[in-house]
Amino acid sequence: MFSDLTPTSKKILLVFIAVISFTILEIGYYNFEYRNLSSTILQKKKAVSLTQLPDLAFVTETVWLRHRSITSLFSVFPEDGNLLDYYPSSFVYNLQLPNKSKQVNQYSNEEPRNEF
Amino acid sequence: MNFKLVDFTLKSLKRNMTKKLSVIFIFTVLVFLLVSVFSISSSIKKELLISVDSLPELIVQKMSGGRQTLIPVERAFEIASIPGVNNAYDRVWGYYFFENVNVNFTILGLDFDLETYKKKYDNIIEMNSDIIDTSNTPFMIAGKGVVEIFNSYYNPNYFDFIKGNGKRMRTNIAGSFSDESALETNDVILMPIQNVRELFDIEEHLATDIVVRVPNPEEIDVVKQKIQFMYPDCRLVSRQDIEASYQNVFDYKSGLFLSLLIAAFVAFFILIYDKTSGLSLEDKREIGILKAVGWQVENILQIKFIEGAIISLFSFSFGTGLALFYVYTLQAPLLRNLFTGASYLKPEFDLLPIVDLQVLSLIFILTVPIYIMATIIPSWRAAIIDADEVMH
Repeated sequence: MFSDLTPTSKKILLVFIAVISFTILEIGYYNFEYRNLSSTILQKKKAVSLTQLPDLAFVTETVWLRHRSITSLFSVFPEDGNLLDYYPSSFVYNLQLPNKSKQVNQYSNEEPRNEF
Repeated sequence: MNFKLVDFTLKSLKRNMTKKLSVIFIFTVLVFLLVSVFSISSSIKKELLISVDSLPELIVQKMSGGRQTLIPVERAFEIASIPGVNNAYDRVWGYYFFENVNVNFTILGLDFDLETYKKKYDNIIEMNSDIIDTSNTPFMIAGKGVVEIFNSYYNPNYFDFIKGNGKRMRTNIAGSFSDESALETNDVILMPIQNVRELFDIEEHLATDIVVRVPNPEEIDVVKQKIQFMYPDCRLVSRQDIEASYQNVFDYKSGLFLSLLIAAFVAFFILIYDKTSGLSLEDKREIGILKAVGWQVENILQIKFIEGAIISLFSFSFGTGLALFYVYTLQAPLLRNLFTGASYLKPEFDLLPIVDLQVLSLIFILTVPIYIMATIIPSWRAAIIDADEVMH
């Protein structure tokens, strides 16, 4: 079947197949690399279970630092509300808010529970 | 498959290579940028998600006047007595601003006398000496970023923290965290809990927040509601809240960059629109000649399909391959700054090599079939017209 192709066409087809094969091999290689990282991942998990702090040490100049839910004593906006400060994107809209309001409302009309 | 048609298409591509190169270039750059941004984003998101299981199920914070304030330690005992709660304990931690380099350190109080501590965590901490004197001089275990700051701007062996009353607290550096956990611990300083209380001027009966462990995931919501009922002045942050917020934040950041890519998208779609709205005179003449020498409409469509598939698949593969190499081997210079802060205390970290096949499929579907269609439709329009008319 390849005998139908001229040498020029064969060269172009070869480059085309090589690029696609290289990309597929690259994806396989990075997946293999990730599977070999189990000890690193274990160390990361241990570090987080020791500090119990969420989020990564990316940003160290904002009011909330490690995570916007874990605020400092001086923060203004991050106490819930619609707009949550997130450096450097200024803010994100809190999608969780409607669910939270529902949960609060569900119990606001009920009698106090003595078993607590 | 008729390989003679493939041969004809490849030779036609070679003849018009200069014209096709601009399309291949734009296509490749667009795929490269999209795959790069989504790969960085998914790699960082994965990093967060693999550690999220180690976080406490609930964090209880006391609020006063809409702001977080210190919480009485006794509440931890009351929360621990709720059925379903495995453990609840108070934490003392906070931020220390180091003015010289405009960074915050995260200082965390820990009970170093606990035997379980050393056994459990000794392989993530490199100690400077085997014996830690917990009774006399204050000491700390610092993240790599903190140690580097001390080496460059202060003393490599100790640091003088300034307490609330203005007095200095000399603290020896007893050890540091391993490189592998830099992304999680770069800004962290572990200190004995009594030293952190002294530094932040926090009394014995108060704490920063309370951590609650609930082993059964089915009970988390109930426990959360019970704590909220017991302490209406408290705010509760659950692990699910944190996971959901990660999703929001990274969608927002990726979206922010994507909005910058709109210009590139517009350029790409104008190119496609231009192709669909009509073929060039040269292309029409070629189709006319082929029909005149006896080619069928389906043959013409076949060569146009092969041409579109070769150009789009080549550009997609080349763009994806380059992007993965740029992100995971070169560690995405410049682009990864989008996801980090502006301070000096930046962690040195390797992006986890996660290839998100879902994202790759999405980019593939959005680009390759559209391009192939854009090549075939105008050719079909030209091919169904009479050969004589097309040539004129």
